[in-house]
Amino acid sequence: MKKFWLIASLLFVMHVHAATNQEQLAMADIGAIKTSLSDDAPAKKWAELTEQQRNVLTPLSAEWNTLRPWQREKMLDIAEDYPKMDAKKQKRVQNRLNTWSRMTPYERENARKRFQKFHSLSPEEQQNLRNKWAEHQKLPEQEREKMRKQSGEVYYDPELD
Amino acid sequence: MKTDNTDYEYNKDEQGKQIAALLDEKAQRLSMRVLKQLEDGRNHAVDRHQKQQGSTVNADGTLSHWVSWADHHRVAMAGLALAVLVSGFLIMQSLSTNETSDAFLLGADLPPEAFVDKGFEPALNQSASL
Amino acid sequence: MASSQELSDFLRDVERRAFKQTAYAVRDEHAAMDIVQDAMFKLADKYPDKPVNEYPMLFQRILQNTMRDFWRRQKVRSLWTTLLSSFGTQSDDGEDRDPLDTMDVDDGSQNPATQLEGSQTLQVIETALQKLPARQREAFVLRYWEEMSVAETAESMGCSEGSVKTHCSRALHTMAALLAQQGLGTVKELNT
Repeated sequence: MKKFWLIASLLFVMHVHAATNQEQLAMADIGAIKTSLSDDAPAKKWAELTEQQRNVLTPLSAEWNTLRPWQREKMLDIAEDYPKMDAKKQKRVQNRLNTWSRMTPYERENARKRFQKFHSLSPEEQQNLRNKWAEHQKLPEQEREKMRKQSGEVYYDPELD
Repeated sequence: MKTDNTDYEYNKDEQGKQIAALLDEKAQRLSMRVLKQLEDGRNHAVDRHQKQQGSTVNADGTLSHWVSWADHHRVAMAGLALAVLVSGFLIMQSLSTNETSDAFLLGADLPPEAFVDKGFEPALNQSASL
Repeated sequence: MASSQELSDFLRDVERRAFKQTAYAVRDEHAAMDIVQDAMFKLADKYPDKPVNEYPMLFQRILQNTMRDFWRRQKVRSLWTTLLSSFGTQSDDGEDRDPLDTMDVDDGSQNPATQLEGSQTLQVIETALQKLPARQREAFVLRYWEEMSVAETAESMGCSEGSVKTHCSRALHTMAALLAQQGLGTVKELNT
């Protein structure tokens, strides 16, 4: 009986772990969880960041004041993870910060979900996708626009009108 | 000429964002009365949502399915308590070495545009089917 | 399909600004609260199967529709539309213009939404926001406050991307002019 419960709780744990991790990521931007209702700490101004943070987030210096408090927090999270990466990845992060900040929360949400899937693929499958992306980029913009329209993702709900 | 227009558009957008940032800061400071009313409205909506979800079996609903089953079994609660403690520990572990955080997303072999391009989505979905 | 926790987190994040946005639009904090609570419930009740990443746009649409229902129920509206029906209702960009859009209402100090604390700049901005024609305000809020792209804003508002840009441009022009009028300089200067 004991063994059964040990196994059952371990299985439960694995499920909770997977579900919670996914939920955390899913709610990263749109959910923007506030830890307390009375959290009135003002957003950190650019001048208040540490030198390390400013070094990492240099591309965002001009627009920093337009970012919401929770957006600034998320950028600071990126700065925190930055030292954990190799130089190649770090360079990419810096190059892509502006694109990232200018996406809508909606888009960042989608990006996180799809990146999670990408991350779980085997190295071969990831390489395969990199090749496909390279091919995709070679297509003329007109063709790529056509493909976007064909994707069929619906934002508009006719029932609402 | 086109550059001028783009600069103008960019400056306008910056202005709009600045204004919105001020408005948003103000919006965070509401009276306790108003916050409580919003919370009540939110809870009312969430209750409704929970009732609608019921015992639907799907990827997201599986967890609540487990919980409601366990509710009826006293012994299962002990297992659950243990599971929560252990999972808490594991989550803390994963948080400190989270390789799917935003930083790693931006450092990935594919640029963020690839993950939001609707035209590229079919390719992503094909590979990701498990 | 979103979990109830995801719904709760989403609403927790959006509720404060949704309340303020609605208050600016309807100029009545009590009505604004009713509208926001109504919209929250509708989201849960009518769209329980939607995934969480669709919530932002969906909620905005529900909010706007609920506001329109509120306006429709206002008795004053029918009186004004009768009186103003002799004026043209076609706007430059070809969209039907609500006569109330151009009505200059003296909000003065009676409106609870203008009982403001904080900087003078914010006061001017809030006043301007309330005085804007409805479509300009909607475009401004969706584009800059809800941070939707031009395309997403256009879809949400059911108009062209060009219209969105025009509405935003006019809204910003009005705000900038009012700020300048009060001698308050640019927002950027005051934000640093």
